[in-house]
Amino acid sequence: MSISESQPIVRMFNIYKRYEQMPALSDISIDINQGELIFITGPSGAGKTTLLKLLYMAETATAGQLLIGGVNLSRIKLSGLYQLRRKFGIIFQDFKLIPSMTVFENVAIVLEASGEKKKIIEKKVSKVLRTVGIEDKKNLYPPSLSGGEQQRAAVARAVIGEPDIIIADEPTGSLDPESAKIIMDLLREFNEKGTTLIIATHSQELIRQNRGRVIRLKKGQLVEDLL
Amino acid sequence: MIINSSNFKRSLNDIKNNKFLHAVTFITIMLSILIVGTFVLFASNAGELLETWKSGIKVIVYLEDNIASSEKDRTRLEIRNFDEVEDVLFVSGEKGLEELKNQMTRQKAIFENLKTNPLPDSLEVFLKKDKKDIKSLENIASKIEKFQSVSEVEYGKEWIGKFVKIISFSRLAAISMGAVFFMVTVFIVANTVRLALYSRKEEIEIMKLVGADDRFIRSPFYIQGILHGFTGGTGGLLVLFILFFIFSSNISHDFSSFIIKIKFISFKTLLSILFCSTLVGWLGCYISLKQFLRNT
Repeated sequence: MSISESQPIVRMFNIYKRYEQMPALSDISIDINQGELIFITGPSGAGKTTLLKLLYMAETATAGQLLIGGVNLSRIKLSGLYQLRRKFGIIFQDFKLIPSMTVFENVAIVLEASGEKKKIIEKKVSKVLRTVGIEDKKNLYPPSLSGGEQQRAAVARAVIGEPDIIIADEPTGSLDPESAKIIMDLLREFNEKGTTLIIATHSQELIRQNRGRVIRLKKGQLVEDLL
Repeated sequence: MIINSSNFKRSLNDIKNNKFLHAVTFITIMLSILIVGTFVLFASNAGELLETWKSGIKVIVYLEDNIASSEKDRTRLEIRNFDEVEDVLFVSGEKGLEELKNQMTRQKAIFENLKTNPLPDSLEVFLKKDKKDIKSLENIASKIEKFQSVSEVEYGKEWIGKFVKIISFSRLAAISMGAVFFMVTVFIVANTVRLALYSRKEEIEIMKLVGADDRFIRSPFYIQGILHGFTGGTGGLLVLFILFFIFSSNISHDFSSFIIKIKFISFKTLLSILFCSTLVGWLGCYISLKQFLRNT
């Protein structure tokens, strides 16, 4: 399942998502190209996180078509989802680090799951932890880390598999300005190398500081798509 | 299932973090194996006893008094010609009394007061190895009873019947108990794994989101199941051996001249039990994981 560069990496056609009777997203149609930097913004409850969840297949759309790398998600078997998810690096709002695993293990799990060799895993994980600046914390467990350190570990886990798309839900939301800048610089570095970066944020400052496409949602509807 | 150091470490970490849950599974398997093992031990020894007894099985044919020795010889030869018969020995009344005296040395006084020999001449009929079952015994006894020269045929019909029934029952009990405990243990292991899975639901969801496939998620649980089954089985058999050792030391002391020596379960059977307990651990995991991953 290789992603072609000639067509948009993500295509959304008239996507609807309802939770019971409550509409979360209505009639969303977006194309996202390889290497784009996209900010999905809007007030709380606008549907930013829901849109991301549809992308990384934690949720399924109530109606509409969603294609990733040319693959229609509605035609993918549950047992084959992992192959598509390996194309993503996800940074969750609440980090979602596994508390019973060390920082090293949390990051290494992505490579272990794809069957990478132990020596290569050790080498790659050490390198990425060094890049995000927490190599000295590799043997610590997430609960003993600060919010910023946990966020860096989450970033390290998202980028270790060299994904085609990085999805970040409020990646700087719980960070001080200095840590937020480090994380954004790091993510932009990957974006500049060709990785598509999709960031959900309500921080207008973050959008101003970084040049990218801005998709604005309000009450589940697409109200603005600015390049 | 992927068995590598990372999955093995993940399994051991989980056992360390959920000691109580895993201890319950281990003890359940251990006790089940102990109970099933006890039945297997009993059945195998009863089988051994049956074989020992079969090797000495014979039919005693008491001849009528006052018949000519040619008639006795003819009877012996005719019985010898039966398909089921291996050999026939003639035992005169005098020889029979002599043997009885030798066997009952403490009751010597009884024989001193005898004026005449009460024992008739008899024939000891030895059957072929494959004809030592109750049906063949009954068959040959009824054929011999038809002889004019025969007054009585003895082969311990009631005792043999009861003994065979006890052995059949103990074998059936071992198989039934094995089947019941197999199912009960699978059910308990499956529930333990289900509890462990629910306690790690979020962790499993995270793994799936970062690209882990079901095989990767399942592997540590399967390793745990196999470890539970193997260690629980080994523990159960070890306790059984200790109990057997204590019991057999006492029994051989009390019954040193007993007909057979009580033996522990054979190595082949031990391996089979251990394989079954390992299978129980694996199967319990398989059932739970299949259901859980389908719903996650």
